[in-house]
Amino acid sequence: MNCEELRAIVGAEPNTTRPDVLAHLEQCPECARFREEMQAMDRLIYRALAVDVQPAATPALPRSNTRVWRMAASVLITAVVVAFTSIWLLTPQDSFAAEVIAHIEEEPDSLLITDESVDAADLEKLLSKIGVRLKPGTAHVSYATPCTFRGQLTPHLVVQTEHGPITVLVMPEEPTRDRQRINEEGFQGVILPAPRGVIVVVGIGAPADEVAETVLGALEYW
Amino acid sequence: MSAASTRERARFEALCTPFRADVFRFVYWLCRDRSLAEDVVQETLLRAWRSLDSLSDDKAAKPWLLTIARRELARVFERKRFPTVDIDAANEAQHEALAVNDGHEVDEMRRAILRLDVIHREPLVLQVLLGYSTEEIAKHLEISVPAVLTRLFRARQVLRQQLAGGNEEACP
Repeated sequence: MNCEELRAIVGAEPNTTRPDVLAHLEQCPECARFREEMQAMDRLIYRALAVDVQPAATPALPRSNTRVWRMAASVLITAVVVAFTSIWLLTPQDSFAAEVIAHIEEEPDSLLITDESVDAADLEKLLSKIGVRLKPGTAHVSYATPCTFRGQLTPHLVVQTEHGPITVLVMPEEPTRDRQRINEEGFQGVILPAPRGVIVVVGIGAPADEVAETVLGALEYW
Repeated sequence: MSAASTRERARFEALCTPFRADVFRFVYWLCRDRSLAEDVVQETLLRAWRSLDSLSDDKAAKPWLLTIARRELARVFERKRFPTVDIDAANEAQHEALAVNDGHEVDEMRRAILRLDVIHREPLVLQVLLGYSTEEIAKHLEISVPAVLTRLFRARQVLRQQLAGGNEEACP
């Protein structure tokens, strides 16, 4: 382990007890000092985070939890679920945004912050399956995989930005629709009409609009 | 009140009340708004009470409560569309609201943490304040362990830069 590797580990876990870290610290005074600095900073962080908590009345807890109430509640819930399911099945409904978020959450590894990039040839091959090309060098794409989403082959890309990863779904077979904002489950983004179908761009606290315009401008449909 | 109900209430008090301060601080550092955090804590405790049966392991009460709180806060943000605010003005307001004659260096650190991006702030709070391991943070945030380590490293890096006089990063 070199000093740089050690500082990456200690920078994330100042109190780590990893044997390889401890062995390095015994022989490297500079890294030992770095660790002491990080531990001192953590003590300061703790003091800063431990904000004063106002005493508050315990919330009035509703009387509940008897068996009868539970049975009544489950019957009611079942009835509501059945009713909503029926309505949902009978009524055309736009759950596109919710489906997007659910899909992203199925692939949490895609949202890693990383410096790594997808191989340009692999990315080109993936996008060519739907007749699309991304101008090289447009974005730092760290994740690209073919997904089946809403019954169609959908390249699932992740673009790294300085504010975190942003997911891009390219859906040329989706019916084109007007621009629609997404703000669900902590995710923000946009569904944009594309030359064919739509593209979906979603992130957490990251500039999804900016990435959406950049990606849309860099996609070539053929 | 029946004996069963009394027992249930006593169990709730024993399991959940001791973590009220932790839940408040966790929520506060996510939303940076004291009154909103207090509302979310109240709602969290009510939801916890209603679903106490689903807590199978009493030792897991703290992460269970924090998970409920996190979901409740997400629901609040989903329901309300909060206006865009000037981050410096907001930080200043929150800083004043928190002032309890802490030392200058604590004040400076608090300001720096308030400016951290939430994706870096949350794992830092879980680790330093709430004592979560990296694996527990990964489970809580539903991301990988390497991703947690990256975020923690980045959080401290940004804090060091800010305290050293830099002005990096200010996000939701």
